[in-house]
Amino acid sequence: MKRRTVLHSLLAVPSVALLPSEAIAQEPAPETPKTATDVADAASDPFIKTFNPAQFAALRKLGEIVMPASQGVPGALEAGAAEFLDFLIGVSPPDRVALYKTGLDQLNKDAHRRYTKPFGDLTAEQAEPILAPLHAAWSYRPPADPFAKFLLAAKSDLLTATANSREYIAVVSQRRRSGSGVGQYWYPIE
Amino acid sequence: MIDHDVLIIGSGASGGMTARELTRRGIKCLMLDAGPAVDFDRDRGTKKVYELPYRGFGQPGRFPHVTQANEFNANVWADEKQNPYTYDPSSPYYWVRVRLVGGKTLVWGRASWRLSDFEFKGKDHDGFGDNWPISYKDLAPYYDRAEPLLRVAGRKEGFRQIPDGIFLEDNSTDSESVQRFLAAAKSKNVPTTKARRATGSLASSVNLLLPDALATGNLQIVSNAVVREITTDKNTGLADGAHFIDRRNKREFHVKARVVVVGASALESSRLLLNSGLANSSGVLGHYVFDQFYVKNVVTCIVPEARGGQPRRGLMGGGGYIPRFRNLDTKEKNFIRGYAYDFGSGGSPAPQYFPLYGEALQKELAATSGAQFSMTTMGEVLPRYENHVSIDKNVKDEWGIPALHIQHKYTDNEFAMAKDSMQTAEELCHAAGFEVLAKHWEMVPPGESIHELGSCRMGANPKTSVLNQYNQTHDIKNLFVVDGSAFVSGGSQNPTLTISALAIRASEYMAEQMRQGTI
Repeated sequence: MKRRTVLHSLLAVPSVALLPSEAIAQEPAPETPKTATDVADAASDPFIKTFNPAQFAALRKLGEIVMPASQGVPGALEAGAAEFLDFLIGVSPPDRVALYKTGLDQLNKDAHRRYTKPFGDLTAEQAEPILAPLHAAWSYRPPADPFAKFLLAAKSDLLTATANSREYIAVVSQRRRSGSGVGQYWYPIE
Repeated sequence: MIDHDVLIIGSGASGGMTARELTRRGIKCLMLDAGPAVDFDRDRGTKKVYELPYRGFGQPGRFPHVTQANEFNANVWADEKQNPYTYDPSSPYYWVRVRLVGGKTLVWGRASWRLSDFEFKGKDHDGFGDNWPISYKDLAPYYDRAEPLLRVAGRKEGFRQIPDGIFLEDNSTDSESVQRFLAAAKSKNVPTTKARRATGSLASSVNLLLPDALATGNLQIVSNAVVREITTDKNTGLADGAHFIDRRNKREFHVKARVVVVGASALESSRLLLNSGLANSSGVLGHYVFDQFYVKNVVTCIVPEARGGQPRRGLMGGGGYIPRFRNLDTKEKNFIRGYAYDFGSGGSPAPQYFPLYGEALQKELAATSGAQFSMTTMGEVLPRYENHVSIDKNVKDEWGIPALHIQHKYTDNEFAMAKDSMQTAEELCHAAGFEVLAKHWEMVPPGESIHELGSCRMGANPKTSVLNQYNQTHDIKNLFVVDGSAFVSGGSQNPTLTISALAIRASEYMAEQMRQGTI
């Protein structure tokens, strides 16, 4: 199309200002559509990058034991808590990464020593003596023993990662109003 | 060059109150704030926690010193990388800042207690430290004006340590668990009252103070203005304005004014004065930093009758306050001054308190849902010369302004008080028939209570203080500091109401001095 033809065709389209007022009144107010999107967890599998396969298997088992599915409510496994923590810990300060890696290695080491198999292959009953530090009374200060410190941190993180998951909230929000997972969010303020 | 009557640096409780008081007297004010203004419709919305990038945990390492930050409110708090500060690693200080128009009044806890002569004349009472240059009766008329502005609700009790004021009477009934606790406290001669709080869906400078000031036509607010230095006239030595930097593009400006008022919050105001090299002939600028120590959840209890997961109607809910009761008419052996408690009924204990996991933990959490009773201690921190801030010339903020070095430690007096508060809280809860699930006396790090005070204290003697009783610097008569840095001591009462009352008093004096032409 030649430039002059384009100009003619553009000029041929009447602008809104030139339309009779009746025509404007008949037009519905234009609305910008909101496009429905979902979170990545809903449709894809994350890469496991922080923990090695043995460490990750131990974390998944720990999640299954600490926060099991119950009465139709998803547990850590169904919520992908270990998968999320692989990401979260991977972007955390180095001391947090070290706490987790050392702690997960210790879980496997203890499991091998007691049962000659990795922690990920244990039953909850078999894991009980290894997880004994989780039965210590609460104290404000974290325990001096790094393994106990890891277990308490992992317990807390696995519970939170589960309770804040899409899967958990989808079920719990149907049962109680306080379980909607909705909060007031502040966008970056300019 | 545009001249202004008064330049106000900061827009929170003190800056907002000063602007309101001055503009209604016809004084033209320019207000600078380091942050942007909040558009509540645009800047807030609802989200589901799993939609957040870090599933509610928050970005790791983003706020190492702001325990109040979560992934929902993270954008409210001042960025710690852009706004660094330093401390000795052995004495961490948690400096919690908000850089938005309205300052920390956008997020404050709203508790509004008057100080009394147990604070203003503390030295007379126990010999420690210094008295304020004012007494309670000097400030009482200004408390009377601040409380209605902040729409404070509470209950009149006649307690000497937290004088009554002009507030909406709170006649709400207490839940059964709270009634039991009140009875237990009474049996041990421990005073209790309702919370005294600013009410309304928002109780901030941006809705209670600044609109009145803007309505006069006498206030202009410039946001995103990071003040680097207060400037002085070479001939007179008087303050004549300030240099500031646009937060967004780092463009530099200078503004001139007849009077300069600093209300940038305690520590930040002292940083500005120190960087400006002003108002420090006494050598005490930056010294006598203190706050109020917090023992969060000093006890966490279960109300036995509420076990089962569905407490009966009327049993749980509500809360209250225990004002200072130590060292009023008697003397403790281990410490001077005193502490207060907030207490609350309802909510569910955190999983961390239960030495359980798996099904057993879930059962216990379900059984104790809604059955919690907890207390938090807020204690007086003694103002000490050695607790101070100074300029760290090796560290600069995003805008090239030298950062603050903060040196602050709690001492045996605070530790003894914290331990006493744990024992007392446990006794009270036992007497009320509650099961004590967890107890501790460990305080949060200095600064975390967000009640930082001092560093630019007022006093009658220019050799030992920075400000006079009207928040006017001894050295420069047209330079005022109106925020919490003016405090001589702080008691255990939340400071915002007193900051507001002092700002009204200072503004009244300032306006009169301007009218007389002395400044």
